[in-house]
Amino acid sequence: MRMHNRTNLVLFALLAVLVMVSACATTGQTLTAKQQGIIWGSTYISEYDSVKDVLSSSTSTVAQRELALKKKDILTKAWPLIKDFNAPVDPINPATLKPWTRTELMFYTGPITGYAMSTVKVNELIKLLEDLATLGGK
Amino acid sequence: MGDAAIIVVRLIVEGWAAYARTQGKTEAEINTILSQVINDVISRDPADLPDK
Repeated sequence: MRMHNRTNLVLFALLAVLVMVSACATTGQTLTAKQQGIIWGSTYISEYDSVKDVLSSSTSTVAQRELALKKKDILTKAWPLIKDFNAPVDPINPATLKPWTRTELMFYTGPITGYAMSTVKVNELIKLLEDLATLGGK
Repeated sequence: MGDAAIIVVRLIVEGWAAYARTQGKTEAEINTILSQVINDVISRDPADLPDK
């Protein structure tokens, strides 16, 4: 029962984030690729510090360590994706700081100048961050 | 408040906090924040975490 409630609450949190992103889109406040990168990076940093705290503490329980090691595996996959992130720029005019919506970022398949993440990598990263969220806290 | 509720609150607060950091900022300020965040990510190599 407890696990059921926890799953529901985590799903609620993910839904809340989706609503936030949707609200931004419908009100004209689009998330730029740079904003998205800041959110992904901040999430990674928070989770990394949390895992480090648990694995470095002599008072952590076995269950806490097991959870932290699961998170470490996900962080290991996410790290190369996030650290190489740099917001895509307007493929027509690289000097233009074009705002990208989440949808544009995910489904854009044209040429990109400068650094960018492919759609496959974006989807992979989102899945990893969702896995982290599903695992929960310390 | 139970553990699950705390987790949910943390997820929402962290998401909003990261989002709010960029609101009302100029492009140059956002570039600075993104650069700092990416640098902080790069400095956190998972291989440096304890193995157990």
